Amino acid sequence: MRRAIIISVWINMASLAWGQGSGERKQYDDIVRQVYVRTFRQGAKAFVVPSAEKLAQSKVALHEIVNRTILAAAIAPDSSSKSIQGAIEGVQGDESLSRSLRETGVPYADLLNINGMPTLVTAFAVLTGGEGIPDVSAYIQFYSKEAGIWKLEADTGSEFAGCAFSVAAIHGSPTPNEVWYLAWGMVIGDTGARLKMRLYAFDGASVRTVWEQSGLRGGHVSVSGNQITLDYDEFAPQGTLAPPMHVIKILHPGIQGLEQ
Amino acid sequence: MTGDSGLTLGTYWASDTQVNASYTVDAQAPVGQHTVTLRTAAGQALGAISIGVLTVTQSPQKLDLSTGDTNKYITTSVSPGSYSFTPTFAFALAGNYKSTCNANLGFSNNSGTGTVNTTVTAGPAGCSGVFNAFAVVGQKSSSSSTQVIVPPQISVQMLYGEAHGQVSIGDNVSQLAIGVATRNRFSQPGFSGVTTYQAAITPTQFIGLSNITNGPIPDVDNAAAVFTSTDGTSVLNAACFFSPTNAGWIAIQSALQSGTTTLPAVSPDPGCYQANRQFVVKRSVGNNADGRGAPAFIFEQQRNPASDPAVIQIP
Repeated sequence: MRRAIIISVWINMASLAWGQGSGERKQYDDIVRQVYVRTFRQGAKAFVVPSAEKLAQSKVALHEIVNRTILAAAIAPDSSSKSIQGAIEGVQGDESLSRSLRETGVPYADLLNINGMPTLVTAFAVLTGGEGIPDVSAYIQFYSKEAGIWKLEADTGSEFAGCAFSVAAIHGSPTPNEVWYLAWGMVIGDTGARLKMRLYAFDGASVRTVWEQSGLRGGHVSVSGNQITLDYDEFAPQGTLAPPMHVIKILHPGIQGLEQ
Repeated sequence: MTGDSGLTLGTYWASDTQVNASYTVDAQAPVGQHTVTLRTAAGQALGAISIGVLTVTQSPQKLDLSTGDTNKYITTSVSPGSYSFTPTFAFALAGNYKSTCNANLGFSNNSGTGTVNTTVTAGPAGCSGVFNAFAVVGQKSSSSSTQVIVPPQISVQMLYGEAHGQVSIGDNVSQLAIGVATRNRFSQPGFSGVTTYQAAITPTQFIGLSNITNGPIPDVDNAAAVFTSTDGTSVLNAACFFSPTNAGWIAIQSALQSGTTTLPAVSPDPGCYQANRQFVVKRSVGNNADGRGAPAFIFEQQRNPASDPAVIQIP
């Protein structure tokens, strides 16, 4: 289980201005064009595979642009989950995950109060490489607001690297002071489309992984309130030739995580 | 005691009733009958020596070899069959494709008369290459050679793990087709950065990656064919594949018949090319060996989703 990373960097909101959106979009586009090839936008021959160093620098730069965008959107007077999600989509343009994989719903934003404290959970992906199997850097971020300043409490999601992934809030956490978020996804290109799931708990200050599953072949998840429908294929042991069995499970939040 | 042209007599020794002589045959000695002449006080006697041509041949013409194999051999045959010999081998790397390292070959030191089997091994484990190997007997090289193909072991492991069951039911198209789909990744910018089999074939990308260390037949043969692009198999530009469920296969067939541009939701879909993917049904792929009633593999390639059908089929 990966522990969430506590980030102790405070952001000076005064330096951020919501009106910077178009400049951030151009900057994002300029960088992403150098590290992400989309055949129908740019000729494949024109794309030069960047060096590992440039790729790493570009990923950091793209991540930071989205972070700035999130914070700028969050401090806007009329901010909402939808406006923050829209801001991320705006800065990432066609290079957001949901633009090519609509069903993921990522970028994602959820603005709410936990224990009376404003909190924000966001998820987005930075795409590099090629669209055949893109190199997906996944970010699931947990913010809280104290004394009018948004603080990034945890920046996680690396377990969904390379994945088409989704995030949803799970209603009815059995732990009163926590809000639970379910993330799920599969590695793009995986011949088994193996599903992995992580259930995160956020109390406004820290994040913990409550429950996890992985290796569910052909798995799908749908979330409705506090009900999670999970279906996948269960295979006979290696070397046994028998058709897979389709499994459907209805899960709800419980003390142990998601329970039937 | 004298010999004719082509024979050089060495020492000889005699008793009252017998004369012994040693001789060598010159390299340029004419083929055929030669004569040794013995003259004594009692008279002259002629001895006949037949000089033949040493012929060296080898088989097979092609040998597919895993770096874990210890039971594959080259057979060297020499005529005349009574000749005792220990073949050595001359070999050279003729090529290596999309691999991180070159293999080397090793040959056992077997001896015999007439026909000798020499065990061929390759290493280091996981490396690859295509070699031409010639048997050499004395100063004589084989009139033919053996092409030794060592595919990257990771590709043998992938073909075995993903589709060995298909081979067992007589479907020899599936392994070649999924191998070609994997190879297609090297030529497409959408898979930038993946330039070797070792980088492309990873446990997160292939559900059926086995851990076998040798080269079962025909898995190693199919891996070798893909490696050398002698497979004769097309999956168009598809670079991904999956094994559909029954329900997914029904949806794919429906989309194929209707010609819709809307991609059917199927499981398990690897999602390559994201919104721009097209399913390719390869008709010659057998049904899944597990008895589910759907083709063992469906392939994915890129398309223009605005105009191209979501599903096409090929022979």
